[in-house]
Amino acid sequence: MAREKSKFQKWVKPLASLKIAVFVIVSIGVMSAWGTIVESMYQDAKRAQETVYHSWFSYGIFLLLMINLIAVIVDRYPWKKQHIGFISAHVGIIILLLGSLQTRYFGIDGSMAFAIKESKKQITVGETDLIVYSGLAAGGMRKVFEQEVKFIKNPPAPDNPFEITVGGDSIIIDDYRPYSIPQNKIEPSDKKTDGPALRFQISNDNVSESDWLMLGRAPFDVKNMGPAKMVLSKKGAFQYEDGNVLLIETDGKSETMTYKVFTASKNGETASGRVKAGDSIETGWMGLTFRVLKFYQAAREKWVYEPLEASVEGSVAAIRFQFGGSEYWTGLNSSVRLFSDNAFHVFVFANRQLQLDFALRLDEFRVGRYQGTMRAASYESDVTVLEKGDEILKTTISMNEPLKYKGFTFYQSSFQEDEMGRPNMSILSVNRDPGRFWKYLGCILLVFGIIHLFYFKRRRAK
Amino acid sequence: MISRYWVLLFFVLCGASAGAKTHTFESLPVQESGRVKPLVTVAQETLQLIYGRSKYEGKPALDILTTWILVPEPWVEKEIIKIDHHGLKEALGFSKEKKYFTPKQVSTNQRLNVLLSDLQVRTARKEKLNAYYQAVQRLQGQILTFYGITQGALKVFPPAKETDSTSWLSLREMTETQSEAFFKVLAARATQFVGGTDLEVKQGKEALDIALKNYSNLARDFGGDNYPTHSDMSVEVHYQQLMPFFWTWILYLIATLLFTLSFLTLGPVLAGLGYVVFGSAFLFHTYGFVLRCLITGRPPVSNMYETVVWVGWGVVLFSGLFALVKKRPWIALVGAAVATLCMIVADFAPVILDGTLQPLEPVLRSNLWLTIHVMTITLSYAAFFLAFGIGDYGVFLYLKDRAGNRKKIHELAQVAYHSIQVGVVLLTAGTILGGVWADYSWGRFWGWDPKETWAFIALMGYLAILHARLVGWVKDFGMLAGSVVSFSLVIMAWYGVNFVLGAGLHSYGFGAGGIEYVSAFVGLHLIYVGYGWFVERYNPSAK
Repeated sequence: MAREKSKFQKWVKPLASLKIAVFVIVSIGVMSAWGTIVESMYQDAKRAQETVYHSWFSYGIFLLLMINLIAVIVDRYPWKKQHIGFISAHVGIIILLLGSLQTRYFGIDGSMAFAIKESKKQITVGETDLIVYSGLAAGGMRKVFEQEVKFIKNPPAPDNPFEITVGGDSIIIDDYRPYSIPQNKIEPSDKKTDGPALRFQISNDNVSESDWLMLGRAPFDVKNMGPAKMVLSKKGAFQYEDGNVLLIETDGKSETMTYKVFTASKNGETASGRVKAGDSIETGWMGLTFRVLKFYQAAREKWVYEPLEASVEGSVAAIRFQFGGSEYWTGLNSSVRLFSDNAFHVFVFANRQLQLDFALRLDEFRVGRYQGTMRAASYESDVTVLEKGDEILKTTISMNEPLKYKGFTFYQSSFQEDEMGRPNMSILSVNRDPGRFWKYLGCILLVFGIIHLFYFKRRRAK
Repeated sequence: MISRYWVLLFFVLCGASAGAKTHTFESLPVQESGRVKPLVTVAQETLQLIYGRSKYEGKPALDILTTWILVPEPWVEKEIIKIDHHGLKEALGFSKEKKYFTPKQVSTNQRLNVLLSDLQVRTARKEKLNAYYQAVQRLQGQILTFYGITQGALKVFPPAKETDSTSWLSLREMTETQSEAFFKVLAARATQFVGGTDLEVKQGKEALDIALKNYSNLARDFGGDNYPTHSDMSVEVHYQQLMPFFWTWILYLIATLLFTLSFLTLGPVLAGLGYVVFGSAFLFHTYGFVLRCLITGRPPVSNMYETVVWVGWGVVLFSGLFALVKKRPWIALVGAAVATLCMIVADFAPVILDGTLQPLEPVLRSNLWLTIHVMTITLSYAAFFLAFGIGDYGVFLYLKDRAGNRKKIHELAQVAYHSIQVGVVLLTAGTILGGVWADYSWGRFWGWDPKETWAFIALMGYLAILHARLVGWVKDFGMLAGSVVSFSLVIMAWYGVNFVLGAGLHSYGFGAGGIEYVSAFVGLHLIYVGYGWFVERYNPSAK
């Protein structure tokens, strides 16, 4: 009962080839496997998404799949009863892919972190932007530049710089570290206006701790080390009141400083003298020795981004840029103030923030633990939805019990604790998925189709 | 979560006296790792962790644990800490040939502190630990557990009934009367296993019963309902003492041998016997599974060990059904052989496959979805595992005598094909259900998470075979070989993502170890099938 195929069908026939189907299926498998390897190597899901799953290669393969699927359905026309399973399964995949495309381009996938009692309107999404604000002559700031950047995919480098020009000044981004640990370093400065800094160690047989004392523009700096205070001060700026205090005074001109030890039990000064880098002072408190490790007459703080091979907890992406003859590093979600001869700018490298037209307030956050351990068994956030300051509804968001509001869904995803292990921040993932209906419909058709297909074949085989 | 009714029912089935409140020594409740378990479980898990076995010099774990608490000193000098990792032994300056070390050797080792602080930096950063640091972490656990127990950190006494606290009291935190009562139990138990004349043993037993009764009453009076009764603990004690999954693999092995013999001699008789043993093994397997459900109050499919047990069960289920429908005992043979493999792996690899009953991570505490999604996917692995076994067997027949076995090879390829079909339906449905679960609890249907991606890749592998079969690229041999080769993808999805890649949101199941064995298993099969393919392609004279 061969029916004449139409001209269109003859034309479509080669595209409906099963060989193409096998090729596409294997390619999708290989591409996905590569993606998981990338994710494992860098411990970074975003990199796998940007460089593999959402690459042009991936889109090309899925496009070929789509053409193949449509062609094979056209090829089978006119459809008969025995084709139900076949068509259902393949149409299911087409709908599923279209739904995914819709999610990809019109969906929102972000997160919202807030402290207890805080209300928030912004959600943070994965896209990264560069933004420059410039100071106006009349006062105030204006956004003069904003652009999305995909540095994971296209990292800036000395031979591939990313240049921004704003009001006659240029910012040239010429290096990128996808994973780095920000560290605050103190180093000598040649600017006379920078204040002195001193690195010390205080130790006895049982303890040893070291830290920095840094003046900046303040008259003195105090570090509380439990039973005693360490103080670096401009001459005469610090007045002793009580407690155990070790006071170092500098005149800002010489390498040598004067020190005084005040002991609480003796109600006053118990020792004094002169000290420079490398010297030690016996404090007389529990056998503690104070040692001056380093001393800079002028010092400045600098953020250093130490590069890592792969993402870890607390690592951030960092960029290097040149501005006005100096070199700077800045990490993701931080800003730098830049001064030139003719202007003042704030340069921001950050995840994009989206504004909701309502706010969420975190009223309370609870963590349930497994008995006798600190292991979290459950966590939940009490939230209030606010619109223009009015309380619209109160609800509790917990694992597997999200809040749905105005097309957005808020899921309990994580939380943060303070040093004492008390939860202080709740993290929700916020989502809008317009493709959901199509994806579910596609899935139902797909599963129905496969079952029908196999069942029908088995019957026919008998 | 376990209903009282079921517990009681089981209790009656187990033939013990229902309603008894006095504990046996085995059923004394202890709080550990977030749940209350019987002492016998704690003892076995502890010895397994530290010594790598559930017995020490033929003595049961419970006796060993008792002496650790009563007379810890000599144990510090005994070689009871098992270290497997060569790199770690080297780093500690230990001999590579030795497997066991004394707690003293380890705890006084100068380099240990450096290793532990390295480990701490890594765990604080939540870095993915390599095999070496996982070994360090394990050693840390062994040392802390051993010294914890010898120094009285076992939490055996319930919180007072009027408090909100859920934290139990350790031997150190108990009052003198309380700990004295507990030590009386230990001492009575110790005199019992030391042995003596019949009379002494009998008196010892009486003394133990009295001590147990006193202690139970004391704990019950103090803790009220915080202190579980003997019946609450009895299912788990029963599970620990029965060792159902040990007997299961023994029975499967016997069934495998009987089926194999049935092909050589006395066919129907031995095959019939094989079915009986196979069936009883399956019932035993099911019983063990149900016990585990009752203990944890959830379907046990939340870690590698539990899924291996479950997949073994699924393989038997499918092979049994196919064998009965098609009336071919060799399908049951393959099923029994694969199930034996699963259960032996589960039983012999406690370091890699943690068989201890653990509380769930928060995200998994949604029984319905966990049940449906994980069980469906792992059940598909069972269907693919069966196809794999059949493929293995088919390739063997192919190499042995391709012409003489033509009919059987075709039948095998058919069964492998049907098994793959069942697997594809289950895997598609399971992956989609995973999407539904992810949508429900993480807010996205599909996020290219490695676990879900690999399940998807495995699906692509089998779909490629099914489509290639329609073009004629895959015939009988191709179907058999494909079943074996594609199963490598399942192994990657099932084991590899958690143990090799170690990335993604399904991080609650991460582990380490066994990579060399699994790679060898996969590699040898690929070589085997490659050789078969070579013979098929270049040796037509064998036709």
